[in-house]
Amino acid sequence: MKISKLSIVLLFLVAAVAPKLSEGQTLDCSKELRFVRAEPPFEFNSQSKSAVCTSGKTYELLISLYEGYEYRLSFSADAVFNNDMHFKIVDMNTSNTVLDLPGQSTSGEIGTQVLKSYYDRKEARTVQPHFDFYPESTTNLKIIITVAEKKTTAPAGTYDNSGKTKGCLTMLLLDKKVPIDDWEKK
Amino acid sequence: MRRKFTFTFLMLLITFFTVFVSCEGCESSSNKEDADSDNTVVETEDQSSFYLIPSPEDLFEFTDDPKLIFTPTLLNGSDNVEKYIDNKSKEINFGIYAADLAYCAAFSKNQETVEYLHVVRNLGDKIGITAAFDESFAKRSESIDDNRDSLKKISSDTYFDIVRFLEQNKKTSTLCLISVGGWLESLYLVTNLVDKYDEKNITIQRIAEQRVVFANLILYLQQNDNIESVKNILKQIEPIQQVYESLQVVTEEEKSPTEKKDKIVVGGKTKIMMNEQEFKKLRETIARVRNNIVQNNVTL
Repeated sequence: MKISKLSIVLLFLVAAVAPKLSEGQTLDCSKELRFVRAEPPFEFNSQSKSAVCTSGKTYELLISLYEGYEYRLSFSADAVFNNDMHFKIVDMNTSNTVLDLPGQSTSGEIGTQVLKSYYDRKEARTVQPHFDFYPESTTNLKIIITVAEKKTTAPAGTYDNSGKTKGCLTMLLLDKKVPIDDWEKK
Repeated sequence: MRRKFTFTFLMLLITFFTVFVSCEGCESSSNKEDADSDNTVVETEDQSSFYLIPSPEDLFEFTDDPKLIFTPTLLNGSDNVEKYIDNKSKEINFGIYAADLAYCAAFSKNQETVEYLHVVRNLGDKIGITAAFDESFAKRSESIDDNRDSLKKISSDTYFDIVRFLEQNKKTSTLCLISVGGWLESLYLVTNLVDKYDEKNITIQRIAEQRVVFANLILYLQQNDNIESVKNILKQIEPIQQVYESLQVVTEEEKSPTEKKDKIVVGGKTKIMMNEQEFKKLRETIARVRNNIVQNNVTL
């Protein structure tokens, strides 16, 4: 009898602290980039970033692109988000929007989506979409990422107290140098 | 006896969970209280704006230009480490040494790279970021070779590991100071690589373009200016900001837009102009701010 009372008390305590315990499980997104290997001739750029994101929020990243380089930009997000994000990139020198695409498009065609991978017939493999940038002048790019509100179809993942989805969003930036001769000719 | 044991067990259990739960809850408030102390931890999980600063390596990329000469006297001497007593001066000078390391690596200077790798490692231990240097650090620094790419890789991996560690551990003030130190030393070194002013010199143009990166750095610091040391360093670098803001930005409209197949062309035909006088002023201002930090004449 005493043991069953103790069990009830214990059960009550565990139920009380369970949400706090789950909240304590923090995501370490920085490890997402740790073992990334750039495909030559591209090299890893240290402005690459991986961070915790929450559904229903908008994030802004400001990166600097140097003249004399070419850059390859790609994104990946945890499955918990279902590719349900929108990406907008603004060139800060010209204020032009140079990219305005969803994470996953309805057509699924190359160049219409940022997150959903596609089958590349030339390379005969599934590849992550990427976007190549050529800065005519050194500029900052503002990357605006809007994470959609959580949908009921979202796969199991990490949630915070308000029921919002949390996961990692990674921006991989690669660069390659344009030969100085070519750069000087411009 | 059994009742007493059950009671004691329950009390211990309740105490344990109370402490555990309250510590979880008090994390962000205690972090705010610590904001001005050493080893600052600032809650940034909900951060929605990220200002990313290129590493010193990126700035030294053009050093394979044979006209540029490695000048070891420009480096912050490794014996200066002993001058830095408080954590803030250690942190900002850590950034300075990290840039020195990148500079040595960019010029394929094996011996100097190893020396500065160890300076960075030792100073890292002193500011509590030993864990940022992964296990293979010692192995890598011993098996270092003269290959420029190999030296650069070690230098950039080390810098990235440090930034990643600081972000992961929310050591925002440390990261701010290291970023300033790294940028400042890189610019100090690069401005001093230029022997003679020439408007068409790529290095001069690259220095002028640092206005864009510097603007990013300022925004990043302003985002964290609730931290005393960040507010102080912002004040220190204000003269550099004034020089950069005075530079003229021109748009070369007569040129037709560049077309690049499958590439998004950005940046426009803008050019940041810097005449000889402005260049000299920038070089002097950067040197003054940098030397004050290196000689430990700044209170952060």
